[in-house]
Amino acid sequence: MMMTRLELDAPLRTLIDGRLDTIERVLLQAEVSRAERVSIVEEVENQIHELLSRRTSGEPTRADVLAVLASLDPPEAYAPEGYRERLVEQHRVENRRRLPQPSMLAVGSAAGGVLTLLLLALGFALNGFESEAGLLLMSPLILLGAGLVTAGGIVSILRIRRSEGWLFGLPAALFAALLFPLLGANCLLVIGLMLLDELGLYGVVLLSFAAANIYLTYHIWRGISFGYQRATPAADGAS
Amino acid sequence: MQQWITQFRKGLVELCVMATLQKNEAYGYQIVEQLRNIGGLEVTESTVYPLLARLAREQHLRVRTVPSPTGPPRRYYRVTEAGERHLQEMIAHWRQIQGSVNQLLEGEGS
Repeated sequence: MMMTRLELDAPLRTLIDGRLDTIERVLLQAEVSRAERVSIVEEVENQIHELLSRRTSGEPTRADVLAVLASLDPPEAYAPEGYRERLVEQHRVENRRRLPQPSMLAVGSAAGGVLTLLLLALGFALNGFESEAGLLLMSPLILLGAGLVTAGGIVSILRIRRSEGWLFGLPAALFAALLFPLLGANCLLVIGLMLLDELGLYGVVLLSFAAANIYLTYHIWRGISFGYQRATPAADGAS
Repeated sequence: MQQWITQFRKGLVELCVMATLQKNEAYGYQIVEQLRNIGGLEVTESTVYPLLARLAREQHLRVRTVPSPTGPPRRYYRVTEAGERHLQEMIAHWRQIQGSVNQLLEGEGS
């Protein structure tokens, strides 16, 4: 294929320059001399342009540039081996000092769930929902609380899963995430039952609901905890 | 096993790059592709480009800049006289090591 000089527009040029700058920064941190940094970066730039020319005869697109950049070695690979080994060791030492920590979002959401339940119970105990004023005051608070607790539970599950074991607290997160959705679903079902007025089945169906709740919670727990393991720092005596 | 192969190749990259440039000059990516086309000598550009920069600094390679049809000017590398001597030393060592290892392996086999 005849290769022609590429005309790259500014955004594509920025993508390429970004990668080249990152390589140069890594080489600078690795204390590579300026002359060698320039040489290496220019070679990479030439390679990028050549690969783009082979990929398309016309103007390359953003997808072309991203594909070529993805085919390159990572910036750290251009650094001398001694520097890369120091980076790996540094990362290992940093991990040794780390200890798994509880997810404060999970703990906070679970605590928020308990507080909201208490608020709900207080509302019923004080007959707060019987008056219009009480209803107007309590309902938004409880709905807001329930929404925040559920959202907090879901987000903390995702964060704990992504932490590679450095955050823990899945049970608290699951409690927060499921508390109000399950409570709401159960309430709707009980209301439905009361409307049907099947007293004979009432007790049996309530037991079935309890079993369904447990079954659902158990399987969701299995799903979110699958593959999760709390990280253990390397044992070397360092705290 | 993969780590051993990687380390083994790393030790030979300099010899292979210099051998590639012994007869003809070439630019960086061209050298990477030539080595990739030879089975068992696959090396990455992140290994070759720093090596080329070092060999140029040590004056084992001469660099000639040529306008490129596709982008920035290309750097063509060619072995210098000092580089040729360095290459011959490496080839002599390689042959010696190769002979010794073969002798060891044949000795174990018999």
